[in-house]
Amino acid sequence: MKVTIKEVHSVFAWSWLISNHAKENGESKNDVDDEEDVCGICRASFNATCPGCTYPGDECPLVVGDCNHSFHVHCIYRWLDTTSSKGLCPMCRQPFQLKRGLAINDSHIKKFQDLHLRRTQGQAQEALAEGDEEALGRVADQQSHGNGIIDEQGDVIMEQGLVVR
Amino acid sequence: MSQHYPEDLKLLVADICAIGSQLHPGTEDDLESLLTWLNPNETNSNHQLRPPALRLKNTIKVFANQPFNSSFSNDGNFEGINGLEKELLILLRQYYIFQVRLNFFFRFDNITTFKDIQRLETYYEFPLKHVFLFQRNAEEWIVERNDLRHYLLNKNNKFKVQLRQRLRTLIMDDDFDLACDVILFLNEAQGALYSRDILLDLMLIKISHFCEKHMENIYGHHFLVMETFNSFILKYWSYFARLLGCPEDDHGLTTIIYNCFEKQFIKIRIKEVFDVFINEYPESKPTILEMKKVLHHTDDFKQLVMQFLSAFEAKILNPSVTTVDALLAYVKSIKSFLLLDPTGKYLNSVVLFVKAYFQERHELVVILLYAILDLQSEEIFQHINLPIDMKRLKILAEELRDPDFNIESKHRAGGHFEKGTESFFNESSSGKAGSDTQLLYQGVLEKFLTWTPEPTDSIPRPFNQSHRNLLDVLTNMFESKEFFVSEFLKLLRKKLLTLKYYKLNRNWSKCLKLMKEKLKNEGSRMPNHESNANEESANSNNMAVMLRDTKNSEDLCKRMHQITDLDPRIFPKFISFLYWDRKLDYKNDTTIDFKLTEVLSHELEKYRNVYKELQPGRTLQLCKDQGVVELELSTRDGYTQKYDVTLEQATAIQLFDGGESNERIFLSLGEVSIQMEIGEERAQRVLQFWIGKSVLYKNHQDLYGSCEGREQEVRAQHQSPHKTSSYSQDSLLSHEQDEQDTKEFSNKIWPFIEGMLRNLGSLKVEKIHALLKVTLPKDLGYDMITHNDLESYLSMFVDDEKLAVLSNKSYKLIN
Ligand SMILES: [Zn+2]
Ligand SMILES: [Zn+2]
Ligand SMILES: [Zn+2]
Repeated sequence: MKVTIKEVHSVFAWSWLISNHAKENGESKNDVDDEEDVCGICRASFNATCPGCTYPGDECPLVVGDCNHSFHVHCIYRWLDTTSSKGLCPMCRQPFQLKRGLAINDSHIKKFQDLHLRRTQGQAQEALAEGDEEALGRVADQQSHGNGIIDEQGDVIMEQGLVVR
Repeated sequence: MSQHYPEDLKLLVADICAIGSQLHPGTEDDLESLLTWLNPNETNSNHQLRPPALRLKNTIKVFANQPFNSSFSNDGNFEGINGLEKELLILLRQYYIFQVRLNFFFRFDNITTFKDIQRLETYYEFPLKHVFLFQRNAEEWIVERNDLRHYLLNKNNKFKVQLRQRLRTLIMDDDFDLACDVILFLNEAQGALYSRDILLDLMLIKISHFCEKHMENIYGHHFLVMETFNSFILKYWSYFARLLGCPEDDHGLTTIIYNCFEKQFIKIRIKEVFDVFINEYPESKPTILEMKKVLHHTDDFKQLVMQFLSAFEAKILNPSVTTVDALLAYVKSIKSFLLLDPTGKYLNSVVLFVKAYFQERHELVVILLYAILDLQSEEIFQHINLPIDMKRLKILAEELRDPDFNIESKHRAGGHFEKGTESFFNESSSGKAGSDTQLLYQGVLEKFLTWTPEPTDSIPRPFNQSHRNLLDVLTNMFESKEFFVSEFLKLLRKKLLTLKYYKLNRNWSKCLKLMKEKLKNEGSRMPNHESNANEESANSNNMAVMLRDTKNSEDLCKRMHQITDLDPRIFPKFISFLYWDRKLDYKNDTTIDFKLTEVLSHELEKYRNVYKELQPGRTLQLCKDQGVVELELSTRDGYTQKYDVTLEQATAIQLFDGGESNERIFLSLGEVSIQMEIGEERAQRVLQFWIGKSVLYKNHQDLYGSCEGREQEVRAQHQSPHKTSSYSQDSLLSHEQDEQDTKEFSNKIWPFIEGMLRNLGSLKVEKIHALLKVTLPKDLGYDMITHNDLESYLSMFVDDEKLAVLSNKSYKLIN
C-alpha cells in the first residue's frame, strides 16, 4: 500500500516569545508565576490584546524594555504618556526604554522617542516656570537619558550614572 | 276453569249470565261460549285470532253489536238502547278488561321485547274487531291498553332495557318507520321512558357516529362542522323532527344540534391532536384553523394540551426518535399551536414540558443551527460524530423556512432593524437577482438575537405579539441566548479548524457578518446585564479574531508558497489560540501529543521557521489535534481511494506506507504505539479507525496490515452485514482478553438492542448504530464502537440465534 499525502491543512497556534530574563534576575516572586504571560499594565495575556484592541498580534504587538519587561505596546505607551509614570517601567521602576536590537521593537522606536521628548520638554517648562532648580536638574538628567535612546549612534555611556528615584 | 277465577270475576260472570237470560232467555250456552271466545286466558278455546263462527257471530250480534247496529240506523243516537242492554255491555267490558289484565299479569314476566307486547296487544284487540265492546267508549280501551303499557315500562325492567336497545338499533340502522312505532308506543305509555329524552340521547349517539365517520382523519376541509351538520340534517332531520314531534324549522333545536356537532368535532380532534398537529401537518392546517374557530373553553384547551403532551411524550420524547425527527415534530407542534392559539398561551405549557427533555440532547443546538444555516452536505457532521439523516434535516430546514411563520423575512417582521444591518441586507438582496433574496438564517438570527430570555423565576408570560414566532419558541429551548451564541461559535470554530483552504461558503460568511453586527449592537445596548454584555462582547470579539486569523493565514500562506523550500501541499492556519478556546501548552497532554512522521514533521517545521522570520518575536506550535489531511491510498491491485483524516490518523496510516515498492507492512500495536509515541489504547483507537475504513485489518498474529489482497473479500463482507463476522472477529476477538471484553460488552448492549427491536421491529445496522449512539448511557463507552464493530456484535447475536437477518439486511428479534 502506498500512502500519498495530497494536502495538509494544518493548524498552528502562534504566541509571543516572552523573554524570561527579568525573572531570572530574581525580580519575579513565586506567586506571580501564573502570570508570566500577562501584561503588567492591563493584566491581559500577551497573546491577547490590550483593552483597546480587537485583534491580537500585528495590531496589538508587544515591546520589550531594556529591563526585559514586556508590555503591549499600547499599554506601555499609554502609561509613559502619563505624567505620573515619570518615564519609568511600571514593574521595576527603572527608566523605560525599548531594548535595542530586537526586531519587535524596531518599528516602535520613533514613536517612543517622540513621546520621551515631549514629556521631558513639558517637565522642563514646568520646572522653569516654577523656578525649581532641582526639578530642572532632574529633567536635564532625564533628557540626557532620553538622548541615550534617541542617539542612533548608540551612545550608551549616557546610560551610566543615571539615577532615578 | 271458572273455579280458578277470583271471586269478583265469578260474580261478574254471574251478573252477565243473569242479564243475558233476562234479555234473551234460553241463550245461556251461547253467551257462555261468547265469553269463552273473548277470554284471552282460554288459550285453547278462545278466538285464537280467527273470526267467529256463524253461530257465535249471531250471538255477538244479539248480545253486543245489535244495539249499535240498530242505533246507527237511527242517526247515531244511542237513546234506543234500553237499560239492560247497556248494563250488559258495561259488564262485558268489565269482564273483558278483567280477563285481559289477568292474562297480562300472568304473562308479565315473559314480556321482554317490543315484539312481545305488540303481539300481545294484537291478541287482545283481535276480538274487539268483531265484538264492539268499546265502540261507544273507545277511550276506555285505549286508556286500559296504555295503562298496561305504562305499567309494563315502569315495572318490567328487562322489557324497558330491551325496548331502549331496540329503539337504538332501529335509529342507528336508519329504520325510522319501525322506530316510529316504538316512539308511538312510548308516547302512549307515558311511562318511565320519555321518548323525547331517549330520542335526544339516541340522536346524540347518532351524531357522534356520524361525526366519527365524516370527521375522523379528514383534515383538509375548512368548514367541516358545517358540512357534516348539513349532510346530517339533510339525511335525518325530517325523521327526527317527526319522531320528536317538532316542526322541521325548530331553530332552537337545530342550533342545539349544531352545537353538538361542534362538540363532537372538538372531541374527535382532541383525540387526534397528535396526528393533526404533527403527522398530518401542514395538510391539516384547514382543520386547525377550524379548531381555532370552535375551541373556546379553557377546559377543552387543557384537555387538548394534555392529550397532545401525553402523545408527544410517548411518541417523540423517547430515545428511539432521532433528534432531527424530534425537532421536526416539535417545530410542527409549535406551528400548529401558534395557528390554533396565536397568543401562545397554550404553546407555553408545551414548551415548558418539552424543554427539559430537549436540553438533554446536546446535539440539538448543532442540528438546529445546521438547519437554520441551511448547511447542506457540509462536512462538519463527520467531525462532531453525529449520525444525522440529511434528508430529514433538509426537511427540517424547509420547515423552518415556512413563510407563514414570519421568520424568513425580517422586513415583514417589522422595522426594528438597525440602520447598519439594513444596508447589509440590502446589499445581500441586491447581490442576488430573483426571488431568493433572503437566506433563512438572516431572519432567523435576527430573531434569535433580539430575543430576550424569560426571567426564569417568573411564570411564563404570554407571547408578546411582536415576538410571536417559531424561532422565539425554539430559542426558548435553550437556557439562554449566550448558550446559543456560544454553541454557534463552537460550530464556527469546528468549521474553521476543519476548513480546507480559507474560504467559508456564502451561507456561513453572511451569517457571520450578521452575527457579528448583532452581537456588537446587543453588547452595547445592555448596560443592565453586565455579565451578559461581557460575555457577548467576548463572543463577538472571538468571532472577529477567528475570522481575521483565517484571513491573515490565507495571506501568509500565499507569501509562504512563494518560498521554494516550502512544501506547497501544506496550507497552514495560524490561530490566536486564546480566541479559539484552546490552551497553548498541550505538550504533556498524552491525549493530544504524538510523534509525526519525519517527513511531515520536517516540512511543518520549515513552515514554523519561516513564520518566525516573517513574524518576529513570535513562535508557532502545531495543533496536532486539528486540521485535515487529504491523503490517497493506492494498493497494489490498483485500487485508489482518497481520505480526509486527522493528522493522527494520517500519521498512523503512513506507518504502513510501502513506498514506491508498494510493500506490505505489518506492525504490532506496540510498534505503532512506540513509533507514534502514544499509549496503546490510543494507538488501538486510531488503528480501529482504519479498520473501520477497511484499510487495515488485524491478522492472527495480532499484527496490523493493509487489507490489500483481501480487498475483494473485505469489500464483499462490507456489503453484507451478516457475513462480516469472520473478518471482524478476526480483528476484534483474536485475543482471549478481547474475547472476554467483547462478551461483556455485548451483554451490556444486548438489552438495549433487544428493547429497540422489540419496539421498532426490524432495523438496519446504520439505524441501530445511530440509535445506540444516542440512547446508551455514556459510561458504556459506546462512542468507541464503530459501525463495523456493531456489525460484528450483531452477527454474534445472529450466531447466538438471538437475532435474524432479513433479506434487506435488517435485523430482527427471533421470537
Ligand atoms: Zn497590556
Ligand atoms: Zn492594543
Ligand atoms: Zn522593568
